[in-house]
Amino acid sequence: MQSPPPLQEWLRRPLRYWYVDGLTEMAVGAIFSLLALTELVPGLLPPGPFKSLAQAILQPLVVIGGVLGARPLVRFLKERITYPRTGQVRYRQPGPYRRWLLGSLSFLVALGTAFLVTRIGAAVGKRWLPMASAFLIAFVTALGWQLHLVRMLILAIYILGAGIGVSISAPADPLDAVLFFGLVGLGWLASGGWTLWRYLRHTQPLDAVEDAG
Amino acid sequence: MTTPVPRWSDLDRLIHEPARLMIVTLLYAVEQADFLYLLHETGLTRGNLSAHLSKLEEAGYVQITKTFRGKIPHTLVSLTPAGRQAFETYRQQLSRFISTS
Repeated sequence: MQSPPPLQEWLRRPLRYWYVDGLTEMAVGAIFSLLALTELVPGLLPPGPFKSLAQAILQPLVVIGGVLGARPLVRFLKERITYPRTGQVRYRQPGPYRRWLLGSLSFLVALGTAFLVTRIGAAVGKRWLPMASAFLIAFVTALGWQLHLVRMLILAIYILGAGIGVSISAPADPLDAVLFFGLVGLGWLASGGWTLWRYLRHTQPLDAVEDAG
Repeated sequence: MTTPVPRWSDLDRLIHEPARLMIVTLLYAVEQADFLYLLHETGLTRGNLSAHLSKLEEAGYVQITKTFRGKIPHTLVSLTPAGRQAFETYRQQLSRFISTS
């Protein structure tokens, strides 16, 4: 008897396609690296109004800029790198109600996560904050396994290792946050860079005549 | 009352063909995909893919839009509501068929 068609795998493929070029991972890596810089820069500034201003606005700026700017930037790059090579996919967008629901849910999850991390930090000591954060970031990263992205599992293990390593070595504040965010950012950048390098090696843009359907 | 056991002959023949089933399944997960993407994912030849898309278009299951990206022809394919419904029905029939066989 014939085996049934792998419909679930075929349904997963277009969703996995978003990550085929590693650009999204590189964008996430860039955000984490910038977060590391926001921890580093105020520490380098001499005490004064500039230092206070940097401490107050740099991190919110990076987070808001990252959330708003990453997706359009990735889409812009995909239009130039990915779509001419392996084709374009337009994903189904949620309706206004669902979008509002998702936005609210994301906000609540972010708030809850921040609260949880702060509570854990207060309970077990600030030293273990990178490890607690690493567990959360690794968990979210490992969700990539739903799309059968093995590298996301490897990345999750690396993030856990980075968090545990920073917590155990316990560098002085703010070096712990700089190291942790920097290592996480580097991990995402390396994973994305490797994926992009492999993608570019195995694909090439089709010329005008070939592209005709 | 029990649901009648579906027969192979009840399945939508147009979708049941493996290449077309793959095309429809890929399109079901997205709003729109272009010819190049379908070509890469299905592994079909250009001629084969065009022929299957034409059959699906004739049945009203897909909508094909031909545009230009700069000077390059660009063919966009999307599943119509009828195509979406046909895939859902096929999927239900298939899962019932598998669970009862």
